Amino acid sequence: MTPLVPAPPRPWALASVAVVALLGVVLAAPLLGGAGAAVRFAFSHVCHQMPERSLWVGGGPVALCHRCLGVLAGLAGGLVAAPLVPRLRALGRVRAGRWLALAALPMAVDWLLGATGVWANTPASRLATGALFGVTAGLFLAEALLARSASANRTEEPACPPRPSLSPSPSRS
Amino acid sequence: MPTKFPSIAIGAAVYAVLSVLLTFVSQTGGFMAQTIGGCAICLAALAGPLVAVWHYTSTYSLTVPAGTGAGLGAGAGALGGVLSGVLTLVLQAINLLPSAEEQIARTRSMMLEQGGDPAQVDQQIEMMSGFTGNPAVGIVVAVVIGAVVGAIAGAIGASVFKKRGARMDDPAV
Repeated sequence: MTPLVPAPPRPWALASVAVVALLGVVLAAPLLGGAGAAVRFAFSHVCHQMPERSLWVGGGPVALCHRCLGVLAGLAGGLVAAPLVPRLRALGRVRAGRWLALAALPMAVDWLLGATGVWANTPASRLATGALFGVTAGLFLAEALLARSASANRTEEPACPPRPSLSPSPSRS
Repeated sequence: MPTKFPSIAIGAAVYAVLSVLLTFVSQTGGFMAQTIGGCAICLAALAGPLVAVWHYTSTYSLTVPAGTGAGLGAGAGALGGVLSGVLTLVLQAINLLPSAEEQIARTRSMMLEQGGDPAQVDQQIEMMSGFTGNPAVGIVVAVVIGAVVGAIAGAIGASVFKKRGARMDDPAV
C-alpha cells in the first residue's frame, strides 16, 4: 500500500538533522559549560573564533565567527528548505561550480574591502554574505542527496517484468 | 572500483598545509594578518575535501554520487586533521608557532577586551585549557571535526565536479 505522504529520503533527512544539530550546538556553546568549551575547541580547527567578530550568547561568544555562522545557518536553511520548494531545487540541477562561485563573490568582496581598509564590514554584512553562500551550498547538497535517493529507489525497482523463459522446463523434457 | 586513497591523501595534504600556513600567518602577524589568515582557515577545511573529489573525478573521468563525495571528503578531512595536528606540534616544538598556553592567553585577553564577564571568561578559559593541554585529544578532535566538515564539502564537491557524459561511479547507488 502506497503511503499518502511519501517519507523524506533518508540521506537528506539524516544530513538535515546533523547540520541543524551542528548549528544548535554552535549557538549554544557559551551556555553548555565544559561541553561548550569542547565544542569551541573543536571548531577552533576550522574558524578563527575571534570574539570581536563573533555573535555573543549568554555572556560568551558562540563557537563560530559571524561569517562561518552565516555559512552554517545558510547551509542548514538551504538543505532543509530545498525539497519543500521545487523551484529552489531546480537551481541545484544546474552547474554547481558557477553558482557557488557567484554566491561566494559577495562574501569575498565584503572580506576584501574589510581587509584592505576600504570599507569596515559589519556583523550583519558578514552574516548575510556568509548565509548567501551557505544557502546556495545547501541547495546543491540537498539536490545531490535527493538525486542519490531517487537513484537508489530506481535501482531497487525492476526496470521491466522478468521475461518468461523460452527454454523448456526440466520437468517437461 | 578505482582506488580512492591517492585522492584522499592529496586532499589531506592540501588541507594540512593550508591550515598550518594560515594558522602561522594569523598567529604571528598583526591584526590584519590575523583577519586574513583567520578568515581563510575555513577555506582550508573546504579546499582539501574539494581537491580530493576533484582529483578522483578527474583522474578516472567519473561522476560520483553524493555519498562517495562525502566519503572522499570525510577521509581527506580526517587525515588532514591528523597531518595538521602533527605539523602544528612540530612547529610549536621549534617555536615557529605560539604554544597552546600563549594562544589561550591571547583568546582570554580578546574576550575580556570585548567586555566579557571576567569570572565567566576565566571559567571558559580554564575548561579550554583542559583540551588544549593534551595533544592527543587535540588530534582526535581535529580528526572528528575534519571528517564532519569534509563530508559536507565532499558531498557538495560531487555536484561541483560532475562530468558531462562521464560514467557514474558506484553503479549500485
